[in-house]
Amino acid sequence: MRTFEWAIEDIVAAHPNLYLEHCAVMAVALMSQQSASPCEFAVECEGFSPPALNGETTFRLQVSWSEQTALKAQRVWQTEQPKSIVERASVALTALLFAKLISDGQMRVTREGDHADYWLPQARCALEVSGTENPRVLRRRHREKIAQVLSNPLGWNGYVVVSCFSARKGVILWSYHEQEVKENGSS
Amino acid sequence: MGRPKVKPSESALDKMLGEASWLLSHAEALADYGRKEEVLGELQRAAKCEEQVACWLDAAKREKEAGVHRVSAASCYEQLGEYARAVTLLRAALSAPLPDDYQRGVEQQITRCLAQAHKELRRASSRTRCKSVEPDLSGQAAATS
Repeated sequence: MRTFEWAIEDIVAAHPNLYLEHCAVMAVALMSQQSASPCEFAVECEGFSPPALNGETTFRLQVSWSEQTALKAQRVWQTEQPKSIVERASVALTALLFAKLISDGQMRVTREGDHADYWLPQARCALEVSGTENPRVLRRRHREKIAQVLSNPLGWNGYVVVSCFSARKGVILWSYHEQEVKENGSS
Repeated sequence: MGRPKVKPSESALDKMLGEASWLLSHAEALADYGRKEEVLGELQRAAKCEEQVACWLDAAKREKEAGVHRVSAASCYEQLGEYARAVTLLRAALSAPLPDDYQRGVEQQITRCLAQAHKELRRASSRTRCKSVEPDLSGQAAATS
């Protein structure tokens, strides 16, 4: 199984259309509870394989961080709700995966009511991102997000990334889904 | 919190789409840090940017995307308490051919914003009543004294 090691701070320059510094800090706040840098995740791909994997669908992701980010992360728990930390941390890991493994993986965001919708405009894909600290809800959350991504208002195909920040083992489910083609040829 | 430079090859529309996205994510980050005043400023800028983007997307015959960005602008205005403006944009968004589920969500958002606009109107009306009553009271007070 292949292993990739990347710094979480790389997401800031890789996605010029998003402000991601705080997401990187929150990811470190969570990951540093599990291990010292780097923190390891088992990534399972479904419905696609990133070109660098040569057809493989699983790999190890080791995420490292700087001392400076670690210092900022220490303050996060005093000011943030755990739920929003997990959400932002998941966005950070997703941004890292797309920046490093998908050539047209630049992300953008829009708002719908009080929540954020992510898009990959170059790939013409919608993107659903979620995270949890409970491994038992990971698969169910992933299924829910698949339904959500396919109901995106543009009718685009979509990616789902669900990250699990567990003390036992970090896991990321990363999948690609195509719209069903209806009988008249439209999707 | 500076932003990275955008490549010069990007089209004006792409640049504006990127700008709107950055402002929205920045507003979210500022909200996470509890910097409320700055959140409002950034949301105001994001809303304007999203409105402009929607108009350009219409011109480029990308009506569905225009609808999504109008909803995005409206969501910013809703958060800013500018409900009438949000309703106008949401109604305009409904003119795009969007999926039923999404349309239902937009209609719910219109209902929510109208309810807030109604409350606002009631507050404004009661303020106007108070103001128009005040001179009479002072007049009475002057007459009786």
